[in-house]
Amino acid sequence: MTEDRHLLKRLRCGDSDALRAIYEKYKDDLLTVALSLLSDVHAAHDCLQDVFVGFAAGGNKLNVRRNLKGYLLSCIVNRARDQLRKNTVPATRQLADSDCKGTQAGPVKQLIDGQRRARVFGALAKLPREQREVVALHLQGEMTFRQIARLQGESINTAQSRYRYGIEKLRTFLKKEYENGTRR
Amino acid sequence: MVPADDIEQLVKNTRAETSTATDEQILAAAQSALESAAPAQPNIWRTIMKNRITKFAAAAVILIAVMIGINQFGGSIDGAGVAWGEVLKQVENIPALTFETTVEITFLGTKKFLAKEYVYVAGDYGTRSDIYRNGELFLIKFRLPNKKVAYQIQPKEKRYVRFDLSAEEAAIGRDPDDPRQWLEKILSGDYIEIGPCNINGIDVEGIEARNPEITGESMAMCLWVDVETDLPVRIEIEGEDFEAGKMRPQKIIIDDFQWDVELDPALFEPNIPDDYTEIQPQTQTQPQKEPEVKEPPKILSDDEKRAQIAVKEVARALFQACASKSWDEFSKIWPGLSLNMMQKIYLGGLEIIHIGEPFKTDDSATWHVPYEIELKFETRKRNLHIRYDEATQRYIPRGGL
Repeated sequence: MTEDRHLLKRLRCGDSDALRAIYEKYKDDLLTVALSLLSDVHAAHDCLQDVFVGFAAGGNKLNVRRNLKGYLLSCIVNRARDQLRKNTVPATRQLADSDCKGTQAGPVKQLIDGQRRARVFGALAKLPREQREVVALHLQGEMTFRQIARLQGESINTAQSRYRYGIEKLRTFLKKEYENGTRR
Repeated sequence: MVPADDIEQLVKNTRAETSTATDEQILAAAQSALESAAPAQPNIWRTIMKNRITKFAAAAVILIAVMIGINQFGGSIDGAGVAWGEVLKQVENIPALTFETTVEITFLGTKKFLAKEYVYVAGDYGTRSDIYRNGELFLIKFRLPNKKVAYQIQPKEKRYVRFDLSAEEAAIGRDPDDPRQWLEKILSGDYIEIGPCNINGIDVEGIEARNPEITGESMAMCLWVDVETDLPVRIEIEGEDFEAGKMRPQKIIIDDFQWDVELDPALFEPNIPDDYTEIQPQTQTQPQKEPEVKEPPKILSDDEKRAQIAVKEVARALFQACASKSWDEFSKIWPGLSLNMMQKIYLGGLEIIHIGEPFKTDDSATWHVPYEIELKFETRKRNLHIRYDEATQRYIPRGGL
């Protein structure tokens, strides 16, 4: 948190290195959530870019004093909602294995990881938007239910219910994936 | 059946990563946006922290007081968010804090006057505020009750004023603007809930004050409090107020609160450079040209010459009440004029630069008193209008402030 505060102060001074440091620190978390929400890698990249451009353009008006990651995730969610509302995201496109770059691993593991990622993101895409948001923000964005509830303008109970329903559905969708995984 | 925990772990471990090409593309766009962003005032803060001259005092904490007073009224609005009754306790027990005040006044629709104040409050040392106008540091105020002294330093003019605090003033300890001095005066407020929000990543809940005494009829004040800590995050006051002869859009934002911070005692040392000139309160180094009047002054009779002295004293007492933020005293001098919070912020702590000789332009009971005062965010040079009131048999201000 202290590091974020320091980076933000530098960013307000127009320090591009601070911008880069913030980007490097949170880009993967943000892209992961964006991809979960939008189910399209190009749309997720656009979302990430829009958020960072807007963030950088904020200049000295930025006044993020705590939880920079939470702030950026909120921006991702809002931007993703806009994109979905405007129908700028291709409808339920099946994610290709190569859509999301994998970790440094051997080619066989990369292939397996890629297939698993595509199936998980595909399963998330089948959830209603509200449930998808809660699951992605809680598990991948590490936001608390309280924070998510605020973001959605709902009660904590509602957020938790959405999460439970979402996990239940994912369990069904991913049963096959899970069983394949345990056999491996 | 797939255990829920495994599903959670699976989703959690499913990550996406950007490619180098994507990184470069996004960063290039973001950096371009950063470069074209509005010029920041980044160095203000650094300048303050580096410059030993620039540091501290208290001020517009009035607004905090307002919200504290508002929060006296009860507990949590919805039972799950901000515990409004706790906000006062939280703030009351905090020995040191810092915050920023931004004032924006719109002239002629587009031209904006921007002032910024960085305020440091430390119970052990006193208060300090560094005030910028349009990005330029123009005034630093210290109030150091332990040393029974206050300073107003004007770096650009390389001059300063030293005020000795009376034992009574020093005993107050806190600045007259400190919220804890205001509680009793603001308990009559009312508010409405304006719901949850997220301010820069902080979950907050807000209320809108509905007390004309606080905000005036044409202003709206919102308070946003962190739902986790019950500490204020931002106060917004927006609306129109009478300024330079016209109703003008005004906006005040108080934010960037740092509660319970550890402050360097050096911040409360004025450290006035040797080449700065000390000026006496209510005097000036250069003769001031008095405001022009449309009508020539009339020649005063002997009775009027005697009254002239009393009129000038009323004007002086009025401005001194503002300088010391003695609003009860202000009300006695100018009965019937109820200052709202915005006006008190502007007038509170003013410095009297010059009070000229009262004059009249006709045989009416109205006197004009030329004055020049240094307000927190501007220098004001006008004529105060004072009339003799037959009912109370004394001189009472009637306009021109």
